[in-house]
Amino acid sequence: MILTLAIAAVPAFVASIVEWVEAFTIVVAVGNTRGWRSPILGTLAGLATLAVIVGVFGTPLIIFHEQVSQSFHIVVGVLLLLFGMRWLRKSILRFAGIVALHDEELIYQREVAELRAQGLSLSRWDNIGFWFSFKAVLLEGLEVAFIVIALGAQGGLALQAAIAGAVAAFLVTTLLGAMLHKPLTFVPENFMKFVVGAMLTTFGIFWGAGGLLVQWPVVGGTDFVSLLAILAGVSLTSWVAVRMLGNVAPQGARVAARNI
Amino acid sequence: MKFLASAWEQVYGLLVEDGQIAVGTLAAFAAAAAWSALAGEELRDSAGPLLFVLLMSLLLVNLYTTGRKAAGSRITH
Repeated sequence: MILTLAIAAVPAFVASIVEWVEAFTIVVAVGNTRGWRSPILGTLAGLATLAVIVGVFGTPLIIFHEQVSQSFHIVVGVLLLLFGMRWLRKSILRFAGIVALHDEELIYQREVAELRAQGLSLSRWDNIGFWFSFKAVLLEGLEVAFIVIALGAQGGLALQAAIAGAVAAFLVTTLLGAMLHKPLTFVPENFMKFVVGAMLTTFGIFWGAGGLLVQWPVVGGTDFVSLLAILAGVSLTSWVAVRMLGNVAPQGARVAARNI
Repeated sequence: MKFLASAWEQVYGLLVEDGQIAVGTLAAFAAAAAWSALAGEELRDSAGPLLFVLLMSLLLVNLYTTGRKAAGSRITH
């Protein structure tokens, strides 16, 4: 039981930290440029929208979990694999220098320039500041929402644990940001994305295969060892991939992340 | 409208950033499912390791081709 909850909460927490840091960069840019009222309201509106999305899509998982367990395992496994392989691939390309690392400071400066170009609102209500923040929180949070729903598909407690992980990450990010009033550039985003990618890929393989009625080896009354073995395999493959890319493109290519 | 288009682009991008990886992942899963269904009771459990091998092979091949493409050109944003 504890393992199930940890499996739901930990990746949700780590994935959320990465996404909230990216959203926070934009919110801080708005706040420092145009004042804090509208970005705070935009952030709250974005969070409320995300809560509705998780509620709408997560609730049927809890209600119908027992009746369609096998199908859910397959759907959840595939979703986790699609997310996980994507994050894993991108983080490996960044480790190898093929894709540029996510530069929060650069993004912050770009957002500040764009916001300044929009001009300041003459009224108390700043529409631009609100929508910039709302959009940032909603779009970055969508990925968190999908991951929370996928991880929470194991049942009601797992969904609560995943939500708790995401909320805890939001609180940690907000607290740090409120203390520093600047982008959280010290967060090792790429390493965290790799960890999340590896974990989601591992869970995707484990649960997806479970949906195909595969019985993973049980050691000491638990299949935790199988999970660890899959994770070790994914990590080893990633290491091989980085070494391989080092030979294929020894100088890196430094292409813009969006082009690959 | 622009916001909705941006939201859709983000949702689509969440799952399908690289078409080869997304399609390959689905194909690998389908192959493992077919193996599980057709292999019989004794070999069904090997569908798990098969899925793992297919996915890791897909990842390596995709990364190799991406690395070759990137090394062969310098694309600036």
